Amino acid sequence: MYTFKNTEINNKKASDFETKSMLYLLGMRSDSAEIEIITVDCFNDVTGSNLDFSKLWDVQSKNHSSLPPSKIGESLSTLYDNYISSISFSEYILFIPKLTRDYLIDSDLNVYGYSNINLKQKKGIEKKLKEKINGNNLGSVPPLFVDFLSKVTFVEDNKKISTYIKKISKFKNKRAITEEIYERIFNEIRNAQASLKNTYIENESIVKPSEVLKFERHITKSEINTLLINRLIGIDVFSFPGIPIAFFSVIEGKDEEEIKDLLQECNENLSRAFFDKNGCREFWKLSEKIIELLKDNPKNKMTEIYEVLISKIKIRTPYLTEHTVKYMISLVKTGLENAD
Amino acid sequence: MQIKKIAFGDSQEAFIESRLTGGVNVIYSDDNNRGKTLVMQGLMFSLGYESIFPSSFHYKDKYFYSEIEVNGESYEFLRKKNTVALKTDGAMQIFNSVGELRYFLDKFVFRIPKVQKDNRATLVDLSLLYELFFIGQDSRNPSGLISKGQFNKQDFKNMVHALAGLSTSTANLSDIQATKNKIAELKIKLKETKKKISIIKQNPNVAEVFSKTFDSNKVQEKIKSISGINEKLSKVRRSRQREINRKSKLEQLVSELKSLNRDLSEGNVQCGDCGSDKIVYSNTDLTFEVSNIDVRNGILNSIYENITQKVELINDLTREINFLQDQLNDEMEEAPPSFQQIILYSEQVVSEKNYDNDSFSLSREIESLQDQLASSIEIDDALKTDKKTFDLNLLNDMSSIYKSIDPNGNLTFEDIFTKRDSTFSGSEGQEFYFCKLIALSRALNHDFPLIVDSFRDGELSTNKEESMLNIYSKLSRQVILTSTLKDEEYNSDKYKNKNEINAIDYSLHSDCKILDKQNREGFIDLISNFNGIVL
Repeated sequence: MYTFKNTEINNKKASDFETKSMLYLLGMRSDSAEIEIITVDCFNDVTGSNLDFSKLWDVQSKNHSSLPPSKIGESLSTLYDNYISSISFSEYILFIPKLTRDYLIDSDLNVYGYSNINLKQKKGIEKKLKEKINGNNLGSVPPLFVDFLSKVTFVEDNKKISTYIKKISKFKNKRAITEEIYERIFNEIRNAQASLKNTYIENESIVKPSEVLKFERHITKSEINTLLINRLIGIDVFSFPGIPIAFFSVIEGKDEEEIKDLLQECNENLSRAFFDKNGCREFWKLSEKIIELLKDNPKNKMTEIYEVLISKIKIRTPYLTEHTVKYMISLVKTGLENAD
Repeated sequence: MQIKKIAFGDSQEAFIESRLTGGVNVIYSDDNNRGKTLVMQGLMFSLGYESIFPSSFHYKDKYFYSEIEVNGESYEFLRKKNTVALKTDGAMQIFNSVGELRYFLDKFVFRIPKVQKDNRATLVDLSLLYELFFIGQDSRNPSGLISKGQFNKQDFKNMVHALAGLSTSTANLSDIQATKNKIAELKIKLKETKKKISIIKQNPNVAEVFSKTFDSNKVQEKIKSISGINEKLSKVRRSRQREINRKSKLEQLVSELKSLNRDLSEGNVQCGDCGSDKIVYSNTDLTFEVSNIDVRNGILNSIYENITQKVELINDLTREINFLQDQLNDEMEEAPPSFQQIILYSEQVVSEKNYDNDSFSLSREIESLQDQLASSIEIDDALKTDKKTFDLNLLNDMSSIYKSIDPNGNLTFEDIFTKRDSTFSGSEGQEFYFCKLIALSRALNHDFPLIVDSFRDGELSTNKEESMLNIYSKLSRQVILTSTLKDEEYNSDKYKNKNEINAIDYSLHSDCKILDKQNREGFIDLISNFNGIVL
């Protein structure tokens, strides 16, 4: 008998977890709004950054069914390496499954500092971490060791996949979205994240953090946002209940039959956009721009958004007619307004 | 479902009722004609019930508004004549008929059951559905339905069964051969009818007959009366044609979409090193595909749903056309023979009449028989037993409710409708409706509020009223009742003293004048939410 070991399933568990830690950075933190870019497998498993790379959030994720103190200590070593490196990070986060509750002083917390860990486990953690840093069993205390530990944040994963997604989308559908649909969106993000690791950057070096962009191992918040809203809008095509209020300026003065025809035409065209493998690039850009404009100018009327949009983007795809684009803007606007 | 607000009026005067709670509400007054019934009728009308207003009330000039809440989501209805606008958070929909409204309600707001009608499963109309929980003041008759639409009391029973999850099964296997024969027979008839039409169209005497008799007064009058029907007819036919066009566009779209999303299968690229066909075109500005399987399947399913709905709408319109054609035929039969010819040729009614009346109904009949054939299943004995058990439980519950309000009463219930010849004295009719309403709400556990206009009809005794109110307040659902009090009852604050009742006093409204200039502004505010849409 031959049993397959170390196959994709283990990798899948690990990358699922890295994706979760990325979504945690983008949506679950009080300072999530600042984080715009995520680099994958460069500084660490996942590192968040603001637009000009002046602030960095470093994350090591560890998905292990059991995490004894020694495993925790071992996992902290990459964060420590970054701590003493020439680049300064503003947060050092260890993203892990729920720890055994006995390890903790206040076991109700899911996000906590090193001080919330009991003395007995601390000893185990420090022993292993020192070993890892020093490369031997000698007991000398590495530089800034205590300092580092006081800076680490432990974050436990205790949420469903759909919760992670919902937290970043800030978009509300009129219809219920099933857990499976969220899971498939999650998988798309995970696959995109995993594919970033296909390049080789071992031993490459940089001076300033922003130079990391040249390796193309990053994903932006706006991409993730566009993905989500795009999927949710797609599900609404031909099934959005009623007419989005923002679209009323277009149908004004038309009789009921004309309105029906117009709505059907817009839905037909949108469905073409979602099915057309050739026109996808332009449609994706269009979605991205619409979302950006609406997020920056939530008070603006649909028609105002449209005017700015066509001044910035040239739409060549024949089925993306003026009405269709206006309908699309109205749908996105409705979803964003309902989110609060 | 909970009623939050009721309003009606026009740009001059209006009435707004926003005091309703989720428990038992009693709207009362010390005298009649204080507007209680109009408010109830206005509420139901706004939700799509047929018009049951008194003839003195000019409802056609008024707007009827209501706000309801279903599963935490709020819906605002605005109706004028037969046009209804429905507004939800961020979206609005306009329907030019109540029939169309029901498809939307069924899909997004609350489930509307289907029953077998003309051999096809049809959504019941809203008036029939609302009879589950609404008892109007007039036309009460325990042996039949209060609202007389195209559905009858057997449909009501079928609807109750459908709501209880006991749907009617269709044709019996042994009927299949008979159905097949019938279809063949009808097809021959259809062919013959179509042949006749073309012969009439070529009649050479048209011009002559036309000029001879056209000038007579009688003919002119008749033309006038018929042209109204004709106008309506052509409007409905246009609507139907547009729906048919939309439907075929959707059908074309499905095949177009499938081809848009096809990967080229003529040969494929492979990696020379490893043989993998996963060749990735790498670029920096597009990380994700434009859609995924959920989106694409979702769109296709919605299109299919849209097509099905269009088929139903087209059927509805065809039914309406047939109705108008019957009207037209009646008019024609009363006319002098020469006139008939005039009309036939001048308005092309003959082709309309024959085509729609015979060939259309024939093809519809064929269609529905084919449907029936396709979906025929064996009659399910188990289902029959289930229905019997359900009915029995329902009647038992009605009896026990009855005993609890009238321990010495003599009524027995054998059906949810009484026999045609049975007479009720005093408040018995009201008690019957009460038991039916409560038993149905318990058996089906439906989500609607219970609404009874004039719930003490027939001099209901104080004891019985107390017991009824008790039962109502224990239902933990919204109940809206209206009641006219006698002076002594009114003076003793009959309802105000009860904690579990939200008492709403209408006594201060002036006689026969519930609409008021003071509410005008508030009403215009409510309507302006509908983005200035003038129905």
